[in-house]
Amino acid sequence: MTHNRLDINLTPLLDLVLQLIMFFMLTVNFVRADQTHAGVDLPVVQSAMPLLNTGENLVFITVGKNGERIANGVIMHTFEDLQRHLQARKDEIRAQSRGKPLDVVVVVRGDKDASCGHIWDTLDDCSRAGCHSWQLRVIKQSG
Amino acid sequence: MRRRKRQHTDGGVDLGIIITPMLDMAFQLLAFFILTYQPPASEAAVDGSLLPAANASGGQPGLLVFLQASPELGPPQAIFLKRSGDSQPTLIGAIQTREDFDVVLQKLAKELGKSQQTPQAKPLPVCIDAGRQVSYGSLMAVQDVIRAAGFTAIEFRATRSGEKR
Repeated sequence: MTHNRLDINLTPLLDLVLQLIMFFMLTVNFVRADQTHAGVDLPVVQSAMPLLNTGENLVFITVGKNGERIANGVIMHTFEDLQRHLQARKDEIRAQSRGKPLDVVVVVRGDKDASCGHIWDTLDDCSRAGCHSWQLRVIKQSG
Repeated sequence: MRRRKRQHTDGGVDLGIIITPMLDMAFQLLAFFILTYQPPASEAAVDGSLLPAANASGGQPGLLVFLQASPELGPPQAIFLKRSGDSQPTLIGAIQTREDFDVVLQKLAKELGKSQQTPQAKPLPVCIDAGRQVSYGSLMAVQDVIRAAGFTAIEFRATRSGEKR
């Protein structure tokens, strides 16, 4: 009695797996924890500008629905907390830029259901802490 | 010494590559990348800088869009437009529902279109004065309409909590 050996042809499977790995490696995007906050619903804007400044001189502040300010995953209860955080980031940015002057930009990721007052207060507090440039993050509506 | 090479019936040697560890690793890499995959962000930005009122258009913008806040947080109660020569602001529309807000935004776009000068002229500065209780989403929607109408110099007029308008 003869036995025929049935081998599975793994070549197409390997091709597919390696192509998938290649795709995910090329599109990988490690988002920093301080740049996102899951509980925020950004406003949708058609005429917003694409993100040109994605450099290291950005300080991210999230303003939640109820006006809570979150920076680097920590709630900033008072102006002093925010000031300390901004100063620490400014020092960090200065150290990274090796003395090259860099304008620190505060990126506000505000919830669309937050009040304008909370956004203004945050921008004003940042200005009082020495950061006058800001960027409001929104979702770009295509079309 | 035992050899792992299999002898073929025709006398050749089958040097099979053991691909099981490679496949294991490939699947582990694949699982890692699938789990950490983030679709490309559709986020965009509205840039600006905070200036004291004295450095802004000096309280005399070409156009002033006033969003009257309702007692509760949400869309504005009404939108007014004031051109530089006007003594009184013009009511664009009162808002009671979300649908009203969209209709009033369309009316505002039409009014802004009338105020737009020739394409060669320097765009008029537009100031948005929004009450503190107006929702941020509504403010950005108004800002979007103004920008879409061709006005690129946009200012936000703001007051701190407890400060009188």
